[in-house]
This record gives sequence, C-alpha cells and structure tokens, in this order.
Amino acid sequence: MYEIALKMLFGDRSKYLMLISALAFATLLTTQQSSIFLGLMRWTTATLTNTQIPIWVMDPEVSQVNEVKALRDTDISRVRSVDGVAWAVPFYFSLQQARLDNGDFKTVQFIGLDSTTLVGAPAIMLEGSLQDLRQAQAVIIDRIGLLKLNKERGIAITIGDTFEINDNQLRIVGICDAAPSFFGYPQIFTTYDRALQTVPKVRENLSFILVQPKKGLTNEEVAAKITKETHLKSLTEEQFFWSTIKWFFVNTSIPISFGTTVLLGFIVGVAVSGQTFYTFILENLSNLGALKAMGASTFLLCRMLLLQAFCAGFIGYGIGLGVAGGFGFLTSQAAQFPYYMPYQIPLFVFVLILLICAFSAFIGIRKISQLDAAEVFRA
Amino acid sequence: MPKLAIDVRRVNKSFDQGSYVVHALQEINFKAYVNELLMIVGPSGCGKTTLLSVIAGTLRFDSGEIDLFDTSLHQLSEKEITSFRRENVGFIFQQFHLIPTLNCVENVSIPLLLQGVARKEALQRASEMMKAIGLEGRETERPKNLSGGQQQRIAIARALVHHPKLIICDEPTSSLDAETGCRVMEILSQVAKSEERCVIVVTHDNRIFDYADRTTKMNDGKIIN
Repeated sequence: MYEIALKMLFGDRSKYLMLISALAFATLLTTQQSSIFLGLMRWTTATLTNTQIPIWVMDPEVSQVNEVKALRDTDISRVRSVDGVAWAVPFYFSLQQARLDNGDFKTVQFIGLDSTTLVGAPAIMLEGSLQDLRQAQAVIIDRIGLLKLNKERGIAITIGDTFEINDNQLRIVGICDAAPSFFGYPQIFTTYDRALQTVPKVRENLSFILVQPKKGLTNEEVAAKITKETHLKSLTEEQFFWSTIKWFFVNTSIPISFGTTVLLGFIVGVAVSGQTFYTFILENLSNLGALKAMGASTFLLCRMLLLQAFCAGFIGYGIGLGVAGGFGFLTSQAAQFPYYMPYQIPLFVFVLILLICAFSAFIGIRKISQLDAAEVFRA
Repeated sequence: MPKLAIDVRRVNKSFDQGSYVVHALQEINFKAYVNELLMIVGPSGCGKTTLLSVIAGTLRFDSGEIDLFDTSLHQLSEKEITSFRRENVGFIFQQFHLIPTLNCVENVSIPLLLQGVARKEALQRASEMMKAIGLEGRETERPKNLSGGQQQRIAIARALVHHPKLIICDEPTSSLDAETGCRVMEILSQVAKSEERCVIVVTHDNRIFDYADRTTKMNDGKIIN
C-alpha cells in the first residue's frame, strides 16, 4: 500500500510540485540565511581565526576583538611575570587610511605582529615569505584585500608595489590567505615596531597581549591567573570568540534580521505545505474513505499519509539544500561573501523540515481519523 | 432450502442532529441468501444507504443483531469488523471511487494489497480478474481515459478480485446510461451466482429492478414488504 500512497502523491502533479516547491523554498531560505548569518558571525572573529592564539589579554572594558582600548606598554612585562605564562607578545590592531599610488584613499585594517617571533601571522602565504616582513617598509596583504584594492586602483597590485599610511611608504612583500574581516577592509600585516612607527603617535599603543601558557596548564587556568594578578581582562581564544559573538548579538540587529528571515522561511514552509497537503487530503478524502470501507485501517492510512508527507519533505529538503549549497559554492568562488555552512545547519534545517512535514501530516491524520467509512456511500 | 447469507434482526440506528433525532433504521428485520441478488429500493432518505452501511460494517448500529455468513457482526470489535470487511466484503460505489493516479490494474489490486498479498501476485490476480470481466488490454490505462461503464466494470473487478462473500453495491447504475447500466447488472447477476456469494444492491433506478432475485422496499427507516 505504500507504493500506492506514493503514486497517489506523485500522480497529483500540481500539488506534488507545490508541496516540493514549498519545502524546497523553506529549506533554501533557512539554510541560506543561517549560513550567511554564521558567515557574518565568523567574520566578526576573523582576527581570532587568523591569529590562533590561546590567550588574549586586553583592557577590562574591551568586549570584542574588533574593539581596541590600548594598554600601556609596561603591561606586557606584568603579564610576562605571571606564573604559568610561557611567553607573551604584543599585538597591534587599528584602522588606518592607506593612500594608494594613484592618490586614492582606502581604509585598511593595520595589524602589527611581534617583531621577533611574528606570532599571530596568518598561516597560509600565497606569495612571498613571512620572513620578508623583516625587510624595510615591508607589509603583507591578504588576498581578498588585494582584490579590493585592485578594484579601487584599476590596475593589479603585485608584490613590490607601494602605498602610504600616514605619509610613511610601505611595500607589499607577500600575499596571504586570511579570513575576511567583518568590516570588509583589506588586512595589512606588518611588525609591531613598524606599525608603531607608521601610525600617528599616541600615548598608549598596545592593542592586545598574546599569551601562550606553560605546558601542563590549561588556558582557562592561566587566563584566570593573569586577570587576578594584573587586573587586565584575560580571555581564552574560545571565551573571546563567544564574547565577540555575544557582543554582536546584543549590540547589532543582525541576529534579529536573519532570525526573522529564518522564521519566515519556516512559517512559509508550514503554511504552504500544510495548506497544500490539506487540500490534497480533502481532494482524496472520498478515495481514502473508499479504502477505509474496503478494510484499510485508520492506522494504515495514517502511515500512508506520513510516508507521503515525509517523502515530499525529503525531496524538497534535498532540492533546497542542493540549491543552497550551490549558491554558497558559487558565491564563495566569485566574490567575498559571508557564507559558512557547517554540518549543524543542514541538520538544523532537516529538523525544521521534519517539523513542517509532521505538522502537515498531523492535519491530514486528524482529518482521516475523523473520516467515517460510511461517508463513502453518501454521494 | 437456500443457505442464509445475511440475517438482520431488530436493527435500529438513529442520528442525533442536535435539536432532534433522526431514526434512520427502525426495527429492521430481513434475510438474504447465498447466490441471491437482493435489491433494497425506496425513495431518497428512506434509510437504504444507512442499512447498506450497517450491513457492510462501515457504520455501527444502536441495537439489534446482524449475522453475515455465520459471523455475528454485533459481537465484533472495530478492528475485527475492519478485518472482516477486508476479507469478506466487496464494494461497488455510485461514483466508482477509483484512484485517478493509479492505473486500472493497480486500482483492481487494492483489496489484495490490503490483505497483504505481495504486489506482483496482486497485480497478476487483478489482471486476471480484469480479463474475466472483459477489460483485457486496459490494465495500464488511467480511469479517466475510460467511459463510465468501463470505470464501473473496473470497480466491479476491484470488488471481486479477493473473492468476497458479500458484494455491496450502492446505486451502481445511477451514473450510467440505460444500456451500460443493464450490462453492469448482467455482470452482477452472474457474480451473484458464480460463487458462494450474496449481492446486495441499493438503488432507486427502476430500469434495473428486473435483475433482482428479490426486492425489499423501504420507507421512513422501515422495511415495508
């Protein structure tokens, strides 16, 4: 009888297509919007992703990685003196105006790494070498930033090209692959000392202190110890990640905006597929009544209905997920686009689609359980 | 003495309509025998369809007793009645109730599939039944491509495919023209005689009264002859 159930579903072409379309649309919308949301959230923590440091020390008022309240230069010595700290290095982070050689200005994210160790540098170099940063005026630029500057300038920028920050000439010696920043600015990496020489002079310059705990100690232990002894804020990478995400949740409308779209996708899915499935049941009610009269139990009819609902759900989900995946793939190939689809998103959307199917089936089951087999004799 | 197929004794059925109660069946007594084509006739609203539903086991009655081929319907649970219908009753409806998205042979195979017969065997037996009823070559057609008479013959094939003892026909000819209706009734007459079986036809189509072995008249929820 299950094959009969599927033939009943597939045979009603218009309703079947409507049902599949609704479910595919719901899947596409919820998957795509959730992925863009996660992509954006990931961008907010790009500095953490690019740096890969276990403990971050900052001013107590700092709540997220894109926000800088500079520390005193002496704070680094205080951190180094904490028992359990293997090493601590300075990290500079600010937004600067870069003047290109055609005279255009462009805002860039200027990052200064510890001059001796270059700790916190991006892991993947596409062109040039990280060690080239030790040359005079040297900077490394991220691939996506380079593309943006190319677009601004109209001519491709390559290694050896120069630009200015605060009237200081800088020379590109390498191109790295780095996670894009939330604000979409090109990321310029240089040494900490050169960064301070380049930017306008201020009293306090140290944005963050990057810390590695000694072996045998956990990040949480050492971070807590640093906070206790220095009264500076010290967070593990994971804590800082979630603190940043929380900040964007609380202080921006991004989650509400995307959450609303995901909710709308779910509601549209429920409404359209529920309505279509209900109409499908209503139109087949006399035939279902005939089946009931012929000896089909209510339980069997309900199972047939569940099969129809979930089969439509799986197909719609597959199509929607395929389109969402394709969209993500194409946009990530073609442009800088915040799209991140970990396995949890398809899983989450799958649960949503199951809920929609269960709701649709429930409407039908309710109708069928109330269906009197004798109804079939009433013309 | 012919063998008793249906024995209905003092059956009552009422419908509560809120402000009033409709007594659809009142103290109904009647018998039907094996190899008999019994027609229940009467004006619209007299209770024919209610009686048919009660005999078929699709509608519970308030009081009384019904024996169908030695099975006491009034003693069966809902589940047992469903199972009884599946094994022993074939249905022919006024509107055919063929599933439009299935082809003819699939429609005919439904009672067998409900009994748990394997799909391949069910289709084979359904195909043989279609052949027996003169619809060979129409197996893969969709019902909508057939005439009303052909659709009703498909419905008859579906009612017979699992060899039920009781065939319940609700206005089987009212959607058909006179000639086609007579052809359908000829088939049903043969069906009634072919196995240990009883055919009950509810109708108000006086063109087919002659096909009945016996006729029972109803009026106002009562049998009047």
